[in-house]
Amino acid sequence: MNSPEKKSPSAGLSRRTIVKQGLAGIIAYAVAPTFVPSSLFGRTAPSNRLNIGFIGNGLQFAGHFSAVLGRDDCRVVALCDVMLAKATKRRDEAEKTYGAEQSDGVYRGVKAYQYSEELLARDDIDAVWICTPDHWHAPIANAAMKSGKDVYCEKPMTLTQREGRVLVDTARRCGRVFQTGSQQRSEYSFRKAAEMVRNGWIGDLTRIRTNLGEFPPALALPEQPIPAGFDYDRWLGPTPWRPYHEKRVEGNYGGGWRCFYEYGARKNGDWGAHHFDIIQWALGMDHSGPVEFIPKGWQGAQYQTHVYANGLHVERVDSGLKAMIEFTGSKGTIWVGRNEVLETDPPELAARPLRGEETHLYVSENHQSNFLDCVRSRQRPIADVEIGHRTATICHLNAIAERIGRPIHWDPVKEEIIGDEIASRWLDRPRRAPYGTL
Amino acid sequence: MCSKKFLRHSALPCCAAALVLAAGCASPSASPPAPDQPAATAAAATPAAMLKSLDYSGNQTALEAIDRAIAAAGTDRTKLSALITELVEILKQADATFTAQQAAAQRLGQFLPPLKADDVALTTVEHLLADERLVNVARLALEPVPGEATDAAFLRTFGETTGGVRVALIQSIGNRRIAKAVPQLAPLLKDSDEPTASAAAKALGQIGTAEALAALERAPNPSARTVIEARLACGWSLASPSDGVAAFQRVLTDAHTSAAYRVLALRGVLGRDPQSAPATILTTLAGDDLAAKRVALEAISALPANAIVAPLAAKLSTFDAPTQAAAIGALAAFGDAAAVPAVSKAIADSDPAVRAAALAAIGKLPGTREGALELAQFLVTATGDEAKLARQSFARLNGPGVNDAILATAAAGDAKLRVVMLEAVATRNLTEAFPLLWKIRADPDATVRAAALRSLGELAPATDQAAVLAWMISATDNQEIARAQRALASISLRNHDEAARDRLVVDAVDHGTAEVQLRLLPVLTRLSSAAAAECAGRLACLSDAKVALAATDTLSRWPERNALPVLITTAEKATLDEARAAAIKGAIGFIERKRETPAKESPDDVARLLTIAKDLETRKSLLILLGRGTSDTALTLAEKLQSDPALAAEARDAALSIRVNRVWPPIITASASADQASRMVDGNAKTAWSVPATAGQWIQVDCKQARPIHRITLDQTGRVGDYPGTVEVFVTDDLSNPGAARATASGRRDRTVIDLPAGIRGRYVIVKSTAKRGGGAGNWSVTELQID
Repeated sequence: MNSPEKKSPSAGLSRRTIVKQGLAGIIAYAVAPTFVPSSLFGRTAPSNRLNIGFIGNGLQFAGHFSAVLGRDDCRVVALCDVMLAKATKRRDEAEKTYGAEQSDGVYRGVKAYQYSEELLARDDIDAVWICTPDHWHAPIANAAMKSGKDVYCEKPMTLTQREGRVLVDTARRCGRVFQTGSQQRSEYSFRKAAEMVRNGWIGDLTRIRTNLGEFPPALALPEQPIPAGFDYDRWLGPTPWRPYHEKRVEGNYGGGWRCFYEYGARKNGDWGAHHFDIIQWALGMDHSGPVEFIPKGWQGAQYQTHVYANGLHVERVDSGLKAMIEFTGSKGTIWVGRNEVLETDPPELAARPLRGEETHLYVSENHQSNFLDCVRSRQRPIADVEIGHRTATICHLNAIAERIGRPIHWDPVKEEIIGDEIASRWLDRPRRAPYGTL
Repeated sequence: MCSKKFLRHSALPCCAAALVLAAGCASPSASPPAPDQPAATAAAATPAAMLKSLDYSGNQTALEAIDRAIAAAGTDRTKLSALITELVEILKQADATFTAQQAAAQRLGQFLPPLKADDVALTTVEHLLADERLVNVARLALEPVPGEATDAAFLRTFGETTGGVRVALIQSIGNRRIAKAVPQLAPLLKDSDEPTASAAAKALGQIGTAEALAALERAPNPSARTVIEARLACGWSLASPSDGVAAFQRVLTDAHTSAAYRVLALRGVLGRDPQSAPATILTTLAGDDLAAKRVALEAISALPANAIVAPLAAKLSTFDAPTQAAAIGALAAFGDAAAVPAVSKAIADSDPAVRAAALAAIGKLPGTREGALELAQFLVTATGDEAKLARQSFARLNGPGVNDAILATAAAGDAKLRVVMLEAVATRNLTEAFPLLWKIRADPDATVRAAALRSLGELAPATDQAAVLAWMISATDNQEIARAQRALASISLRNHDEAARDRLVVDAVDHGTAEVQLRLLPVLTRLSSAAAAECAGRLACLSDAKVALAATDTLSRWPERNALPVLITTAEKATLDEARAAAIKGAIGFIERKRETPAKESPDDVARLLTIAKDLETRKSLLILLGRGTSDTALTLAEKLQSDPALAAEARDAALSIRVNRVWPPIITASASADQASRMVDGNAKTAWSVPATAGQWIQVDCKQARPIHRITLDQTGRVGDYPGTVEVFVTDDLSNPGAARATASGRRDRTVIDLPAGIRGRYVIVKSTAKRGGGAGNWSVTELQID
């Protein structure tokens, strides 16, 4: 049933064919027109566009930058990277794009900064995109919200569990809009899969499996000269000092800094932030979470597993799954992944519309647009800060269990590890001064 | 001697045994010591001796051994105590490397228990807190350790330090929320060293007691950024909510407070005084302070529905339009019935933003029979964005009587309203409507019949294939026929039995009249299986010109490549010359649309078509396609055709292109995202080169040899909107002098095909964007770049 070679019961049925051509699909796919009153929460025309700053101008930034650059409802006004040359290069690209507007007296140019506090000190910026490595997400997001900016923060939202609760508190206490960059929530297939699970279309869930893949081990790296113009100490920020090496700071989906626990949670953070997030959504656990985390190998455990209070197991199966996530229930199975992968057994489930009385989940067709709409309307976005925090918590607790080599029992209400004060220490990390506090 | 049995029975402490195992009994595959490591490492006298020489690179076995030992110890305090002794020893040793001390401290921080003042671990690490080089190392060990003795160590050391060390210790004191530190921190708010003063303010905010707040309010500049942020933090953490409110009020009324912080203070008041929050929110929304409105709107969601929904709904119409629109969104999030009357009323508001917000919200609120009828009536005349929003809301409207109202209204009455309701049958999965839908087949109104067919197409099971086929064959209205065709295809595709999906339709085609065959051709296209393609191929070979040409045309526009062999067979075997010619043209179109260059398939298809095609221009086109290949067969054919005087030039070009293809891929560079450039020739339509669609972006292809260039195709499959503005194409052998552009083209959605004049040859091809795309910037992406 789970062999990647075996054709699914719905093989040959493209979801695009059966859903997009369907009436329910057409309605679901219809781009919801914005009803957001830009005249209230932006400024007067023509600059009622939102002013956007980007902090972290590396790998993950590029897609967001292009998308925002292509929008008429906002303007990139500031870029920031500890490697200043990256920011200036992107500034030049932005200025070239906006070049036609330079003579109208409105356009005020794009500024490049090396340090986030310089960008955050500006009072004309409405929102910031945080695209740094994970260890800088929380400090910058926290400062950004306190300085009056709404935040789109790349996933996973935090480096530690405790950082997440701080960000939730700050967002609420500052009245800010916070979107976590777990954009799978804004993809139709994932929403549909979550709705099928929520509405019991595959019966009682018996197992969930997901594929996160694996990173190579973190390397013990010798010291290299720090490139000119790169503030490496700032890049390290709150993490323990380590010698510079290009592989340590490299933005690379298959390696680079993502391999080091100092800067993230490896695959649990990198892909878990997406797939655990969809599983949380499907289970209706956005404000809660699992109760037990079992590392791979513990008493012969074949897979890393986390367990919800009802006994449901989520297994991390890093190869052999036919899609990114597999939900198995007493009446059927759902396979869902990116690029519109959505297969079901029985196959007709994928195209079946929801009834009015069934649970309909938050609809967002575009993660960036959803954020920008919420910046204007002050509603909570689809991957609100609490949601991002709860998902990141699962990433972190799985990583902690793996590192300490024993299961963790978790109280998702109190957000405490039960009966293991040593494991509890891992919920946060000391921060290197002068970056020593959030 | 290194067996597990020995270790289990050894008198050695477990952790030390684990370290010895790692150090002295390493497996043969373990890394050797790095050449620059001290000899002691290699000798591995003791675990501590091993670790104390640790470096960031090279042999990490000592560190790995420690970590294994810690994991093995679990929560066993006896085993951990032994490890603590080992790790503290490293911190004591002056000749231990920084790396070793950092590693030891980091691990101590993970499991040191609460300490007593005279614990060796505490006295050892406390000593390091004042060391500028090691203060952060010491903080790794001590900051996570609870207990008053550790607090006292920080306070003792902090009083003796200055500069960066003091800032580091203040940060630890703040993180540990040491309330006893307030008297020592308060004077530092006046410190001339700005980082010290800021760190003190932040720490006082973290401590968050009344004493800390008092110190902050007595600061020389209580409205300074760091001080006021700390005061706000205290407002949230003070035990007494009324004290918190008072703290926020003092910020609100401070004339020196910036507007941004007054807003944060307002949010604090709303949060700590939920009783008065609804009234404060309503007052704020009625005002004109935009920043305050933003915060008030966000604060709505933090309140219980019974406190805010009714008062907000009652006041809704008194707000300005943009505020109403945003407030409607906030009301919808509660899903509370008390909001329904106000939101329903707003659907008829004169402001389009308010109407749109209400239409989006109404589906999230509890529904009623009357509400469903009103929304359906709205949909009868609605258009554009408002219609989309209303449809989305109608599809999810939930409440008593809603489904019954839909079914009853769909059965009889005004035809336009019935059509709306029949659409809702489909979008709401109302399978209980099946008897009604079949009954509608006899309805006199064709628009209603078509609507019923649409719903059947959405919902009917595969067992209803035959019934829908019969309805389609008997249908008289064009819209009804079209709906029936789509319904039949959709129902067939839902069949669990993949082999049976097309059987009924194929049988009906093979045994039907010409009229039935023509009606079923669109269905075959939608099924697009190999059997369906072969069925269409059989029609293309018939002598009935109308059917044969329609079938050939259908196959030429077939969505799957399984039509290509059928078209080639048709070109060879069709009864009618017109059908054969159309089949050749259709087959060429299929081959041209192939994504990869050089072509991965055999040249047999082109060779077969060259044998069939009589028309000279067609044969020349086929030779260009032959030039995409790499195989010996393709090259042999191209060389053979050089003997044909009419095709000699094209055949020579094809042969040259094939030889150049054999050294594929070309060297490809670009103006930006150069690291992605090779994705344009990787044969993978899922990878792309992508840059902003602005003027000046370029791609340069070095084919390594001069070759004929007939056509450039920029394919952006899957990124249909990522097309360029205007592009120019240069072809040259001399990059320093590329000459004039050989062709200019405007970008097209999905694929941009640029035909070049005849006779162009060159080694280098440059595609340069000369104008940004209209309608916003966006991206220019190329998944595959083809050169013919």
